[in-house]
Amino acid sequence: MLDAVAARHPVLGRRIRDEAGAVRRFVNVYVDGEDVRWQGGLATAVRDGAVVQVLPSVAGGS
Amino acid sequence: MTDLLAIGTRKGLWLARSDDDRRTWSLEGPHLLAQEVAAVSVDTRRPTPRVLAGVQYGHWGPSVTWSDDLGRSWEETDHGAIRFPEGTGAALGRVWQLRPDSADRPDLVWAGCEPQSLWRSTDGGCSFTLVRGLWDHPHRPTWEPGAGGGAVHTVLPDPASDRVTVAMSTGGVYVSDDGATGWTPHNRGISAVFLPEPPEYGQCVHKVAVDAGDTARMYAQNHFGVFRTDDGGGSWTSIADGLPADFGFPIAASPTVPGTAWVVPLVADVQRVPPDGRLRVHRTQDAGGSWTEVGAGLPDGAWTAVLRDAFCTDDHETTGLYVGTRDGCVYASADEGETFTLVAEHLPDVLVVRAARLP
Repeated sequence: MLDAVAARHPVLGRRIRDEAGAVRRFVNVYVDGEDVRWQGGLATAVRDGAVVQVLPSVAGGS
Repeated sequence: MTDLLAIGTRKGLWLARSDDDRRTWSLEGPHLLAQEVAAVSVDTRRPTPRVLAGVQYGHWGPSVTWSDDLGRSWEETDHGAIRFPEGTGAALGRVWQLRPDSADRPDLVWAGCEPQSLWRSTDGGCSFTLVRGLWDHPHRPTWEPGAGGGAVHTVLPDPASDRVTVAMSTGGVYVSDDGATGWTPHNRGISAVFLPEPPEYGQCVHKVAVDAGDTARMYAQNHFGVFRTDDGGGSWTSIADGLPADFGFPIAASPTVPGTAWVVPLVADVQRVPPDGRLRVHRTQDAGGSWTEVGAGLPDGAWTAVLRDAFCTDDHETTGLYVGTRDGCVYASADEGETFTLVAEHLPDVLVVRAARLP
């Protein structure tokens, strides 16, 4: 799904993931409320009707 | 004629202008508010000057953006101007240096980045190609990151030849004589106090500047030590005698007056403040044979520091000098560092300053 987002909106795509494909350190991706880092990572299954959220973490900033 | 000073900070970019030969300055900004701007250049080789900035969008990663209308609008390449090729396994960490090449190479721009890498653009900075000769260098796995991160922070293309000199922390000075294909370390004589023996490479060179009269003569501010080479980096000798401290980050050389260069001494790596809290510039006019403290108008009680790129010259016949501090002050000198006036204060910590003359 993130690949599709990046294909349609490349600037948004690289805000979420770096060019090596990793989700940026202080960006969190949730599928149905669960952080994918603790699920299947970027291979986490996205069911029809799932809610996907991309949120900046509380960390970082200056 | 307008003098423009681009000021990149931890939280945005400001542009200062002077229309009275650098006597007074007006400040405009912030641009790119809340974004870290660690690299900036003002490319005056174009029909309209281009402000090129290396930014860090907070959580959202690094990028290169540019403005062809002096900050009113900004553009960036959809897929990113700098992105590591597939197969490298690397991702851009930060843009540390954006360096337009000479006037007769009008679209050529270099970028130095973290992780330690050199990039080349032939379209004015819209897109860059990784310089594989340096990236694939067998030494690269041993270039340790300094405290600020491992980066190519200095890029010095020779306008008269295919020579390119880079400096990095750590790694030291590397030179290519064939247009950035093959690279060899050029650190003989530069100390590395954090290693048991002086190495061939691996020094923590903080900044290098080229003399106005001879491109083979360069000056280096090292992580302890100030050095000069007269043979393009083949060998370096200490020129630190006469300085109150040999630690610091920036070094700048006059683009018009041979033998003239400036440093901003700090006490030591574990005490990154000016000696006695007196922010001063030290100038040599004999290629490091002697140093004179200058800088009337710079503050006392300044327990701050000047980072490696927060120091630059302009290209006036009487060289102007610009100093940005980590406590958000910017000072300008129109007389080779003798006297300074305050350009800005209360900005975020200043990471980079670059001066240009606009038509």
